[in-house]
Amino acid sequence: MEEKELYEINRYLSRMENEIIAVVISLILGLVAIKLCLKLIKRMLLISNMDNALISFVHTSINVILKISLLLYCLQKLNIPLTSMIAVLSAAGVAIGLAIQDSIANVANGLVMIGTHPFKVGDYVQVDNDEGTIEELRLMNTVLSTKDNKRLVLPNKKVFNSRIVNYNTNSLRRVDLKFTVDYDTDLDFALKITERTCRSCSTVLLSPSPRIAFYEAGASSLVISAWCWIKTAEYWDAYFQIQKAVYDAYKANDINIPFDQITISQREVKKVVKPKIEKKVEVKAEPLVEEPKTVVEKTTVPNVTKGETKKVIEKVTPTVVTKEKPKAVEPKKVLAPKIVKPTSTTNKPTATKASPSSTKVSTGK
Amino acid sequence: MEKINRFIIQAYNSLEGVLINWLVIIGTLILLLIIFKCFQSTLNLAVKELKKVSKTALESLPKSRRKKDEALAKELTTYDLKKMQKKVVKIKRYILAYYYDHNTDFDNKEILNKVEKIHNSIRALRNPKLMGNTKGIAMVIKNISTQSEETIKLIDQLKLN
Repeated sequence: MEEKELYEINRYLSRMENEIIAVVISLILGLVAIKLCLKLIKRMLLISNMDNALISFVHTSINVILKISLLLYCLQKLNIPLTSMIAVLSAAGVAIGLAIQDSIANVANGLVMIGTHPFKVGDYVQVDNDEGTIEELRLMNTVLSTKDNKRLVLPNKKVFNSRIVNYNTNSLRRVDLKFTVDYDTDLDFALKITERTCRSCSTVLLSPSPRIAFYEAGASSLVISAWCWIKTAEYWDAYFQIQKAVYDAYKANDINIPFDQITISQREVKKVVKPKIEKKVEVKAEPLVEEPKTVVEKTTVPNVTKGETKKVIEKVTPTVVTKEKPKAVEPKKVLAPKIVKPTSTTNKPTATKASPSSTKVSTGK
Repeated sequence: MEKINRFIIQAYNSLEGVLINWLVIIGTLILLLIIFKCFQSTLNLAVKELKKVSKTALESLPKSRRKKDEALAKELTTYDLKKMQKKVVKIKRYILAYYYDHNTDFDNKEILNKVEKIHNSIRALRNPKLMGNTKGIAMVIKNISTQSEETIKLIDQLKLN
């Protein structure tokens, strides 16, 4: 029994030995084959008219795929079950994919952009509100250099989903300019001068020829439009050159350029005779509102007995203070001597003038 | 001794299939690499192509320089021109491929500009306006050969760098 077992173990080991050797040989030769294969693929990609970013991406992905396949082949040779491993790997792949879905979207959009070529490195583009020259096209993002020399890194997902304006697709561009002249100017002469000046500019192309025309009669000037064709690379040079040249030409030929004017007219002011004031009368300002507390005290005290007055005051003061503040109360009237009559025992209406709440208190007694 | 021999034979028998498979794959790959000239430097390939272009251009030039108005030694057909154009495109790609692999400080724009000039000259030869103008054609062809030679010189400089 023991001999049989030993024989089996020996046999298994000898078989495994062969497999291990086979796996090692497969690994070495496989890696050599992968290297040769990658060399061939790279050369093919380089000779084809493919973008450098795409070449490196394809090269790297093929490298990874081939190496993973070699590893799986070796595992299979060693009789290791692959189904469970593949299941685990795919689950991990899904989890990772969900976690970095934005990055994956960027890569996917980058690949599409590299493939479709909406712009290339060196192009001047406008992506939504951002403008600049394309510096680099990466798989994840696009690098722009703005006019004021800022480095702008835009994710490819955003670039791909935005409205892209490429100013370098066509070699020629048209500069649209408007010049204004005075209403007194001879229009034909102004048109002729403008055309001659535009044609004389070194940056303006003669074919297609520049088009100068009377654009409109404006509110305070005649508007002349100039459409000049220039090389795309020289846009701003041409723009500034034409502006300066036309201004100089207008100045030299006495063509008035209107500008907004403000006319200020001064009216004649009649002399007003001021009445002479003989005496200065100083008037002391009296306080318009007096504290209502005193009012109530004066009215209530003579009518009620000592013990009761305290109660009345206690009850009345808070209500009067709160209610008497508004402007409706005329303090002078309240203070008038008519109201305070020592003879009348029940002078209820005085309290009613102050506030309705105080009347309630006095009538109860 | 017998045991060892038996083990070797056994091992060989079991590994035979694996070895042969891998060797076949590697052999095929090497063959493909040789066919597609992957073992040669891209710059060397560009030089070879440039020499071919220059040769084709020179072959068509009149032999004696004094007789400038003489007819061309060999008229360039549309097929020749197309072939030359394809070669120039290849040359451009070879040069760009070299720059992809090697980061050098050498200015690649000059070489590419020269190649572009050759390309433009070949395009000009296909222009119907130049038909019948032997003198003009001769000048353009001469320009192609001159530019090719200058490009080869620049490439040699690049190799030395």
